[in-house]
Amino acid sequence: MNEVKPRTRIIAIAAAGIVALAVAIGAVVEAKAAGSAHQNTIVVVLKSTNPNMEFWKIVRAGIDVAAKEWGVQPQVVGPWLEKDIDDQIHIMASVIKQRPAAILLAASDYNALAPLARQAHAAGIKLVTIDSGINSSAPESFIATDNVEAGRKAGRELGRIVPTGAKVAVVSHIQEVATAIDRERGFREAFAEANPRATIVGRFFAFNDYDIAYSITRRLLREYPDLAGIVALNEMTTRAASSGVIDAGYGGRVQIVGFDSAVDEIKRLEDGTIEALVVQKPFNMGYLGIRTLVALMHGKPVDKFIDTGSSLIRRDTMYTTENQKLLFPFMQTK
Amino acid sequence: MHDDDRGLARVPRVLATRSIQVSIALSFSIVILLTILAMGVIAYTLTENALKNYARNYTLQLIGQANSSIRSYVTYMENIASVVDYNKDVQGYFARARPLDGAQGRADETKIGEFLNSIALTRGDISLIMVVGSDGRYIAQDPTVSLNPAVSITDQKWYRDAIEARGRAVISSSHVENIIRDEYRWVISLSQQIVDPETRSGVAVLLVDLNFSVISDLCNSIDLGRKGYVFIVDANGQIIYHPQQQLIYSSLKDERIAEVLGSTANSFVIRNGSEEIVYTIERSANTGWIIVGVNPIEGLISNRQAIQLYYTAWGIGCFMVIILLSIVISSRITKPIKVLRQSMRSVESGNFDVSAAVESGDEIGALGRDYNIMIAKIKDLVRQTILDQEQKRKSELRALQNQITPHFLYNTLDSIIWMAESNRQGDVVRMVSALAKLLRLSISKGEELVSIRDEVEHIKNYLTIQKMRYKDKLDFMLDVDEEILGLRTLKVILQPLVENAIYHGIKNKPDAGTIRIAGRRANGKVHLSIEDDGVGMSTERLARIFTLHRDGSDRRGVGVSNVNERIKLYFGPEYGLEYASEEDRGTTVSIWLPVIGENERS
Repeated sequence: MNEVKPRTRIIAIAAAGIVALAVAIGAVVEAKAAGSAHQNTIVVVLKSTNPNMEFWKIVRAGIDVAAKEWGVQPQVVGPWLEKDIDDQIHIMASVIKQRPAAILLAASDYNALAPLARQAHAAGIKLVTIDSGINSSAPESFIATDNVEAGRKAGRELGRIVPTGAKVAVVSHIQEVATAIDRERGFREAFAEANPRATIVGRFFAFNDYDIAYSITRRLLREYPDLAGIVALNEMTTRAASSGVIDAGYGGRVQIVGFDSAVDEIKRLEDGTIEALVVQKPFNMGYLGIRTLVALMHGKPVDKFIDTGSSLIRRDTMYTTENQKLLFPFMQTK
Repeated sequence: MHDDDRGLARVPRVLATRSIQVSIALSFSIVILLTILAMGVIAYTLTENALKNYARNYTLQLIGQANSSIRSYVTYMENIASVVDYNKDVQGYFARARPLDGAQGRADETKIGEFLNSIALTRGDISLIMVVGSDGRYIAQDPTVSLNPAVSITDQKWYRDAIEARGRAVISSSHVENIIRDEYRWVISLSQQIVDPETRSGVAVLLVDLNFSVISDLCNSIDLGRKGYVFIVDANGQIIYHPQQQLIYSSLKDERIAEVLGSTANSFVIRNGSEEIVYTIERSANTGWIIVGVNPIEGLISNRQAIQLYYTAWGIGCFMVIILLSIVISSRITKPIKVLRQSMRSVESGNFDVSAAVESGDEIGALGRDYNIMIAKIKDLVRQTILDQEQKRKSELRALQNQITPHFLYNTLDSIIWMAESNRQGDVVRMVSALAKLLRLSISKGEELVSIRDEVEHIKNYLTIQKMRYKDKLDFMLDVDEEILGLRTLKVILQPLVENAIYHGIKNKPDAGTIRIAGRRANGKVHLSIEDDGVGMSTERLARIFTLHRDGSDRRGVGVSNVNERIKLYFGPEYGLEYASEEDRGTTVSIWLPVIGENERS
């Protein structure tokens, strides 16, 4: 009996060891699986979740591609329309309560979302903004079009196509908004360089209203019959300016350089009313937004500002392989 | 040289100083650990390779299926093209110059339009079938469509390509179709020039547009794992479909298009840092496109880490079981050995009353049983030896007691007195001298073995004394080979036999008797014989010669059996006495001894 005891003890110890090891390995595997589900949550708060808003649809396409590449499952939320600023504030506040690992935000207001950004930052949530910045240093990175550079592209083009010393006008969508200010600055800079003797007859604000932009265009054409060019600083003003020019019977005589790529703009570009469009790359915003958040979650340093780039598209370059993908990002466009 | 030896000998010495249990457990564990490691690595590699191959074949299969789907779409477009191309109405309408009669022309247009529409209706994924005449006339499957006024059809790439191909069908890359007003659709176009069979000149160009979404959906639906995807390039490396097309154009991503175009194999591997990416290639014969499946090996083996973890866990588990087993097995082997060893220790200290309790049925058990038998044998032998030794001592003592009895000494001295009274001085001297020599030889060194020479000398003196006592009644002869005189024998073996021969053989004989002592080598032994011509013995008595003294009936057997026993005890059972006797004729005793001391002689 005495001789049996030590052996059974050894067996018992070894068996216990094996069981403990198996349990430990199982726990590690479980923990890994559970950890990836819980810790990697990313929430995307957009300006609009309306599927008819093509810009945000493209952003989401970029998000989806990045999500697949890095194996994350971002949850996309946001108000129905871009102008629903209060909705976005409420959504953002409830997202912060969920304590996700990271938030990708396209802020619909420069100031209104800033306190929430600080709150997210304080809660240890990684925050990155896309498209439009906010009045806070809380976001780790801001991913958007370099609007100064986009403005330069427009200025260079308009300066090139109007005669030396010609008169041009700037139709801006709104006052004191970063996109408008930056684009105008870039435009003026490059335009002056491309056509030093030309004059800019003035800068006119449309206050985010198509009708105002349209009447500005009509008035400009009346007041300056020799006006050679108009630069419109966003999609809405571009559509309004081109309609105004056509309706005034000035089609082809006044050169328009605009921004973005709504279908109406594309038609006007094709028929020659619009001379060139500066197109942003929303797909890149979505893609780089997720890529940057994944890098942050892995503790890698990221750039404070990331330019998603822009392209100037003229009538003759509309259907190059690259540009048709930019102008028509989806398979069926009517 | 010495240092080298030490280095080589070190490992076995380390093992040698350990117990068998530790050695077995240690070497088991090392061998098994190495085996498990090797097996683990091999099994893991094989599993990984098998999974890789499986995934690769699976990818190839998926890409192949995509390819055949694309082929069937293109074949379908080609079929439409040839149906339209061979249509007499189409040929006739566009071969004629502008019809003189407007109504006839409109009827033709309607007929052709309906014909095109009937084709288009069979397939939902055909977005446009249109025939464009070289003079600008056009008929589409839908009579209500109007052309995009900003676009010139003859500037379109598909139009120019069709003219250039002279009647062959041309498949375009993916592009946005913009010739219809307010419509911008991603399509693949087939264009083909329609030739007037009579004049052999081109009269129109046929355009068939396939919604590109059927192909992009097809590529999208192929699941190549988390990071895997499918893309298509044309023969010039232009992207037809790529899920990350915009990233590539923005230089956020680069695709290995040059490698794909340059590859002749159906699959190759690109190393990107620590990542290995498998490119699987299928070439589409009727479009010239290259369909590429891209999947990182990490994606192919989706649970590589889990596989690694499980293999490691199994390896560790097996190793622990093996350690346990080796401890148990080695202790089962060494435990009986330890029991044996303890028993041996006890034997070493002189205790033979032990038996090792080894119950197992294996070799060690057999060893234990043999050991127990051996110990029993040794115990027997030791007892026997002790017994023999005692016996030897006793018989030697008896021999010495028999040698010169007080009775013999008294008779001899009486004879001397009597001879001295008769003034036979010479006889007295001879007898005393013989007695003196006899006594000297008897008391000599006290050794067990003496030379045959001494033994013969001794018996000669004895016989001399006896002869003088019995006068003419006793005579003797010595005939011992010179050669054996130097050999050794037990002392006092001849005297009891000779005494026996005198007192029982010759003394009872009416006339004189002779004792003849001979000695020589025979059959590798020493053979001494004592031959008398006395009264002899009956065969019955002869048979009991060595046991006579035991029943007390006859005293004379004592000396004989004592001599016989002593010889056998000393030299072994093959030596000893042999009696031959015949009544009234005499008795012969043969003494067989080993040849001892031969080397000492020289």
